[in-house]
Amino acid sequence: MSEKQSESLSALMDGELDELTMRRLLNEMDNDPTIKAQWARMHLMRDAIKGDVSPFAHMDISQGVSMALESEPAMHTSATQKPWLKAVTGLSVAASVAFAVVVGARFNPLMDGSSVDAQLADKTKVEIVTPDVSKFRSPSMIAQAPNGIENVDEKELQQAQERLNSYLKQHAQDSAIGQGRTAMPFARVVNFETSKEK
Amino acid sequence: MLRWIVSVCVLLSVLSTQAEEASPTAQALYEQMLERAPMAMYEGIFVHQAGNQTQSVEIVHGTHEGAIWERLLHLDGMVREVIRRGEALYCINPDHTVEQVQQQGSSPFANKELGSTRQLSKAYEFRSLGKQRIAGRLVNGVQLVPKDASRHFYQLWLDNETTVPLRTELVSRQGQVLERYQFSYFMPKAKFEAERYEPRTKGIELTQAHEAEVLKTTEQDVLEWRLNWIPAGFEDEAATGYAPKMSARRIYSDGIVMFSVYVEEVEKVLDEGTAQAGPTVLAVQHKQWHGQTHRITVVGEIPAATAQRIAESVELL
Repeated sequence: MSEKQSESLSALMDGELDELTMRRLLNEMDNDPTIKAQWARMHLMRDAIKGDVSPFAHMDISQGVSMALESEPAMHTSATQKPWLKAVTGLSVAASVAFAVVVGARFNPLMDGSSVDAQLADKTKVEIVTPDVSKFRSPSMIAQAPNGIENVDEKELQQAQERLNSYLKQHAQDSAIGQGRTAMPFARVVNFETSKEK
Repeated sequence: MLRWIVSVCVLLSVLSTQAEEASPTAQALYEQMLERAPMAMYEGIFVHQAGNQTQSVEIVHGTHEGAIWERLLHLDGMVREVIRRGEALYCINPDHTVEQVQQQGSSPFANKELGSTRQLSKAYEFRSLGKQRIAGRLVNGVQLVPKDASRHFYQLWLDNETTVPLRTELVSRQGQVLERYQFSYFMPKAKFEAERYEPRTKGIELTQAHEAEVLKTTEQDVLEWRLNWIPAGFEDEAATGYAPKMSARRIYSDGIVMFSVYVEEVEKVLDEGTAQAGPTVLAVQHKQWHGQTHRITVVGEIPAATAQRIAESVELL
């Protein structure tokens, strides 16, 4: 096995191999059992490091992966392709390989490419949520009327809360200034301040 | 031939530095940090974790004409910046308002240097945590082990090259991390580039605010009071800074953590007890003196039991 093939295997492990090299590597794997053996060893090593040695480590699933690749819709590989698009398609191939490996190990039948893609599309969909920052950042409601104290209205509690917040903020500022070395403790100030703004 | 000479020189310098730095003690590492880290020049991104909240902050740090310059930019949520020009400190709020929290020469600590190892060693033992790798860089771990139960553990991992702490943790005696600052990206810089310290918020002019606009210094203690109990190693920092109306404030430090005590007269008891806000604990108690209700608030990065005991020990003179 050549050094280049070994490198390609590592890249495949990390999901960083481009599509063309992967197809070539899979072809070479068919003709060279040492590559297959190396692939199995790499998995064993990784699993051993992670602390879970798989009972399926000896299984040869390269054929399944080849099949999965063949049934995948053809990718655009023309020279005019935009770099970001290449990155996206590259990721999708690596991801489907990882998916196929998991499916193979569970003895489930391999799905055809389109449904694999559909499932991946579901999994990789990034939901962009704008969190309500004030909700996350504000310290929990601190001011609370102690038991047995009457006639405390909402407004007074609010004032007590604001006073505590101002003490927290003041203390955080003093800490930042007092340390003198860096203003990094100012990161704390923000936590306390945001609650004031809502 | 030249290559051979160079490699011998490199080898010699490596050997000599190794001989010099024959595993400096944890305390020596900490002292190096106190001296060198403020003067270091670097850029990076750190994550601040407090309780279950995290936020990423960009930092640019360096020195210009002998003064520390710094710029912090909050990368998550609303855009906030902190700009430091020597002693002058500005906060740029999300609504683009600028707040100058400290003016040249108005440090509440009167330039008293906090955190000397002389003060620290009263309350902590220094322990080495060995070498590690953080943000792709070699660091030396230093742990400050408290000598009593009235404070938390403090641990720092100092960059081997610049001594800048790349990770700082405040850990409770139960082993819970209360607060963590950790760099995910750190890059030392060779020279000062003024434009890197300009606010990223557009249209901001940093001018020296008028004295009245900076948080005011109040009259020395509105109320006369004293603490009858104080954890070992904590010293009154004699800070004279801004305190809310009718409240007397004092700051105490053991060299690395601080607590503040506020005492004020109140009409009504609205809250009492302790609360935790990230690494910071609040303890509120009320006491009657001269027929008047007084509210005592202790704020600091200390265990709740310590804060309560401090609050209990306040006595009006």
